[in-house]
Amino acid sequence: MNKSKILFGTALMSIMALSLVCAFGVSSPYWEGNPLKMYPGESKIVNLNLQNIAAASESVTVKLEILQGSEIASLDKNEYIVEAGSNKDVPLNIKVPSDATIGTKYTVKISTTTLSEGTAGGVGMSTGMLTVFDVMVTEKTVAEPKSNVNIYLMIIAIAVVLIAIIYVLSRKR
Amino acid sequence: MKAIKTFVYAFSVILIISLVSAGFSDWITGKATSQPTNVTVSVAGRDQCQVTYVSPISPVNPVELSSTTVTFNVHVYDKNGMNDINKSAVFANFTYSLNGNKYRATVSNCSWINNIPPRTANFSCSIDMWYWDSNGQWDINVRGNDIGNKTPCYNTTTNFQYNQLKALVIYPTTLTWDTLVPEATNQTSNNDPTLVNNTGNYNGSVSITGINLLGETDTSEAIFAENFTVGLTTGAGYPECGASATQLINGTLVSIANSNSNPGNLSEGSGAGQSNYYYCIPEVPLVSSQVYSTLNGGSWIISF
Repeated sequence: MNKSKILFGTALMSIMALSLVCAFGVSSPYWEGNPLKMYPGESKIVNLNLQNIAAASESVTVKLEILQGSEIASLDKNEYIVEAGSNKDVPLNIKVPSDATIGTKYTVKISTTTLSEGTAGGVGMSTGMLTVFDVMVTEKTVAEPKSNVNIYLMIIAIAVVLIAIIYVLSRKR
Repeated sequence: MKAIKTFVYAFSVILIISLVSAGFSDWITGKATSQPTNVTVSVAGRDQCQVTYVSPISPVNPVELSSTTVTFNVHVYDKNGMNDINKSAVFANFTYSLNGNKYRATVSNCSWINNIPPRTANFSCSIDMWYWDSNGQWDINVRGNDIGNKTPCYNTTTNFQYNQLKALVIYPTTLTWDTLVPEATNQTSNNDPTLVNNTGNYNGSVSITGINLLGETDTSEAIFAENFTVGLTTGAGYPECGASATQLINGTLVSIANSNSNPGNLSEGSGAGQSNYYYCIPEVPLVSSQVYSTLNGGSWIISF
């Protein structure tokens, strides 16, 4: 076997045929330091917004994979096509077990990568994003009943006015 | 009693003279006996206005390499009536505090939409948020004014969430090397760096997932990802090959040492929003002569 030389990616013609830039983006309402708070048994859908806008000239196929937190997170599909110049919401389903203890922290880690065909004659580069956020298990917040203080004050005020009127009238007689 | 009667008569005469004098003199001079007269009375309110309502803003997604317009409504109240509100003097802006620094989005001059009788006016405000604006809670500041009191009124009690956007554009999309000789050292790419434009607001490290390069003819041979290092600089001494560089690991997301996504306004130039990555094979392995590439193994991935 000839081990004297390695022909490694000098095929300039093949490079010229490739797209010159690679672009992609993912927007998320939760991130490290901005956790999602949920109570035991609660379900929620978090939309990850895939964007193929900057420098976009062709559609991209995006592969999503849950690297961590699959015990509470799931995806309906693992691959999405995002047309050039557009964006797409991908629902990420989160369900906290009903027996989860308050204070438990789950970390959800999702990788999103643009799929590309193999590159001959060199090292092909593609883009990826890692969306990471925590899910904090908290107490279920109960909506506070509306305060009756104002109503009571109003009743007292009306009563005082009525008493005053009656008093004035009785004095006139 | 007589004195009182005299006084009443005298007073009545004076009244009659004052009431008829205009008509009498007009008859003498020929002037018109009456004419319409416009009377304008301006009453300036003395009470300060209040910004009583700022409509809630749902979390906002940034848009890659672009801006997104955030629109919301505000109500300005004036005790002296809605006509005392200065309709062209309602302004809004967003501010974001980080490490003691305050960042400010462009100020919006809010447009009057309608009155809500008797004392409130409704305004619409629009502010552009850019892709490099930090993710987090942004404070909404609204300032109103009125015609009479002229003391500005403020509302700084609400905020909204600007989401995180991890987005990038890379160039070039293929790395190449000159023809290599086994055991040669410090072999750097001939078309690096990879220029990474941060087209979102992510502020953090940059990672690369390397994949073994398989032979295009004989796929049983490979140049392993571990044979590659990545650095932030190049030049004398091959810094991208040395101790400060980061060694890649096959199929594993590796954070590049000291890297930063460097969010910023790419239009400003001078490196804002950009970072560069240089590649090296510190020592070429002993492999057979053929082309090695990502054709069969899959591309490397640059990640935020």
